[in-house]
Amino acid sequence: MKIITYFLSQIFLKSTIFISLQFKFSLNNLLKDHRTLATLAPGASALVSTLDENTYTCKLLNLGLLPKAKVTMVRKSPFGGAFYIKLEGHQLAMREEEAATIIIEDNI
Amino acid sequence: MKAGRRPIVALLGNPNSGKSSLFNYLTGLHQDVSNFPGVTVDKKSGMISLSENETAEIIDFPGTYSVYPNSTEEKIVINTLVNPDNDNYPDLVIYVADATQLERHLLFATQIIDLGFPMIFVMNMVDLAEKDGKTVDIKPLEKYLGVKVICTSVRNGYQLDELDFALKQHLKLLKKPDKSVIYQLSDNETFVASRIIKSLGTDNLYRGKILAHHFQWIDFLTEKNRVFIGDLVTRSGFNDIRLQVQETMRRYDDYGMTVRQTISTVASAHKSTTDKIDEIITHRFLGPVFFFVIMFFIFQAIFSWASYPMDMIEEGFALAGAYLDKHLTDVWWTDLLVNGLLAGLGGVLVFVPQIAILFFLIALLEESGYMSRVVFMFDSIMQRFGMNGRSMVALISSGACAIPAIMSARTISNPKERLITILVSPLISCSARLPVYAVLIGFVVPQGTVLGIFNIQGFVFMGLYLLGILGALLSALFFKKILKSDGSSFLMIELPNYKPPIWKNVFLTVWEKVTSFVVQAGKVIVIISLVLWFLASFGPGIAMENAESRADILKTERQLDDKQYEHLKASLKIEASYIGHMGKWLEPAIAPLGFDWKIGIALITSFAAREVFVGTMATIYSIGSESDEKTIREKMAAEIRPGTDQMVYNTATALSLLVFYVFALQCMSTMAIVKRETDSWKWPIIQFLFMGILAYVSAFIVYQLFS
Repeated sequence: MKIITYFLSQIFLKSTIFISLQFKFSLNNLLKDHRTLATLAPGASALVSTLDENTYTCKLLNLGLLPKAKVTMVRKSPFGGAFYIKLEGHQLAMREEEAATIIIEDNI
Repeated sequence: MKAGRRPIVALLGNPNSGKSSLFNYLTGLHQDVSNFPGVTVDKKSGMISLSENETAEIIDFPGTYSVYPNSTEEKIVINTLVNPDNDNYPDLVIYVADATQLERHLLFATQIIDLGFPMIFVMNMVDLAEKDGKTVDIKPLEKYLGVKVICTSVRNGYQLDELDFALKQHLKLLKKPDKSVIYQLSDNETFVASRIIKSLGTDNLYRGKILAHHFQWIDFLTEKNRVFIGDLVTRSGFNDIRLQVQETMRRYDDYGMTVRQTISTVASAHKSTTDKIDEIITHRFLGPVFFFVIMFFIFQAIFSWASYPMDMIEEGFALAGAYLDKHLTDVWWTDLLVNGLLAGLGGVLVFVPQIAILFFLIALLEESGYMSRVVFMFDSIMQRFGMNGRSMVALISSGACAIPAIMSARTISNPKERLITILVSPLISCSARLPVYAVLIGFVVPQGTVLGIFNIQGFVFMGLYLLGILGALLSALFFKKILKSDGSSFLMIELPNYKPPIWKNVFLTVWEKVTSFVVQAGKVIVIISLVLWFLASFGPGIAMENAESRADILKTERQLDDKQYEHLKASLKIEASYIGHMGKWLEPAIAPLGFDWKIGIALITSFAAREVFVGTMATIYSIGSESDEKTIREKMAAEIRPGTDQMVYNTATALSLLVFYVFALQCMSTMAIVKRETDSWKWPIIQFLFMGILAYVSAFIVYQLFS
């Protein structure tokens, strides 16, 4: 009897954690602005809103990806995985996952 | 300024700010390349004279974005700037910024001013800014920074004399910036920073903040300091990344207005030249095609353009050798001079044209800004092989020489990607393999053309290069599987506007690379030639005398004429010499690859440097003739396996030997560089064994297939 209770409680605990994690995850997705630089179509421009804090955020700032900066997605790299990005006055290359940390505002 | 030391001027600035061009202007050919203490980052420095008996040292520091670095090179800069006891700690900073990128380039300048350095702020490339229709007014910037601002253009020499003048004046005064602090630290930052500087007994609060961020790798801190700072940082909730981002954003906000007052921007709607070029050059299909066309052009240039000066150098050395041989009295050292030293020197200098052309073209690709486009285009492919887009630069340079290639891998921040790049770069066929290929291909491949224009031997050359590239990529996959990964990997790279190259920069690069090749490789090759000459001219005990008397006996037995006698004597003597014994000792191990003891000798000497192969063959196949490739080839082709009528250099042996040279790591200089770059003997030894096994197994397979 004791063993069954133990197992049941374990299952209950695990599933609660699982469900709550799932909920938290989807909540995050809902709250988070999904429109990042990585979702911008080639040729489209937008304004940078914020940057997801990361070990390389400072590097992105150094390269001119500041809030309110105008960014243009110029093209994808020939073999995929990287973007050619234009800012005012200069150009950058970055990977998809790097672009995904840059949250953008409305298209221009 | 430290007592008894000449003042040090640091050139600092972001990458692509024109910093190195300014350095070349200030120092010209009076440059010196050494290393920063403890690391292998090139330290370029030069002297400038202030008055008759006063000089100052100018150091060109690696391009840096901010005090929060992402690469080894940038870390060197920060290590120097936060430690007043560092040998390279500057007394004055010349900060170089690109006027067209002022907003971004200003960030690092404000951080340096907060560290308390006297500074001259050089706003470079004003000609380009004005061409874009921008107007420049330096007064607001001068007021904001509290330092002297000078507009220049290194490209067309604009106002460089004013910089010279300001430099001399500043070195007399060494005035601290008028405004002491640009960025006001927050309460939490002040709390941490003030405790750190108090414990170290220094005074600059901003330095304290930088130490709080980087205490784990700042080199002058003791273990005790590190524990103290680490403890302080954790206890006070000092959030490393958040505070870096916060500081950066606040600096940008703070000077945004000043930038707009300094440089008026006129928004241009039309596409710039760079945009138009990149539409083709980084195009999905045309981009890679253009890349391969460029690579093809480079190899053509190396083969066709270099052959004329190379022939001239070879002939020159042959003539000099013949002349000396004829006019010097016949004593033991004439032989040493002509067959040892002169042959060795010729072997080095003959590569100079190829290396100069290759470095010239690679420097053009870098200067123009094309190389970063290559990084962009091939990043995802390189990632599949455990490398970074930046590895492409290294792999391309490997076609010239693995040494600069391995050094260029420093721009890769991820340790695993960098290590793989270092490990596979020497598999790309370098220029030192060229002469070996040239001699051996002659045996295997008939002269002639396909379709009337393409040279068959040229195709085989290309095949060998492709084999090297294939080997490099497959080895990269292997190392990707077995090596552990640590640290983050990123691409994020500037694609600078295309600019016509500054020729002075290009020529200085070529000059520096060629001279360092001649000196570095030259030393090795000359020493090897001398040792080789000694080992081939002397033998254990009375072996050499025995060989000579045997030749005498055989002469009478076989009725040989003088010429045949000389040949016989020379080859008998080589066999009896020390080097002959070494070759014989190695023979059982290399027999399965189809190699005899003479090739064994060449393999032994080639472990110093591949290009020694041809010279060794020249020495072995009867010492005394000039090292002209054709004659060596003829002699080698006539070589017959003792006791049979089989040719030594049949197709199978030649192919096997070619494949061996494609893969084997026969270059002491590469091993020394890998040791320096990875800071242990572990990697060069692993690399040597790995490539050795690869070479042995491939050569074995090839020989068994073709024989």
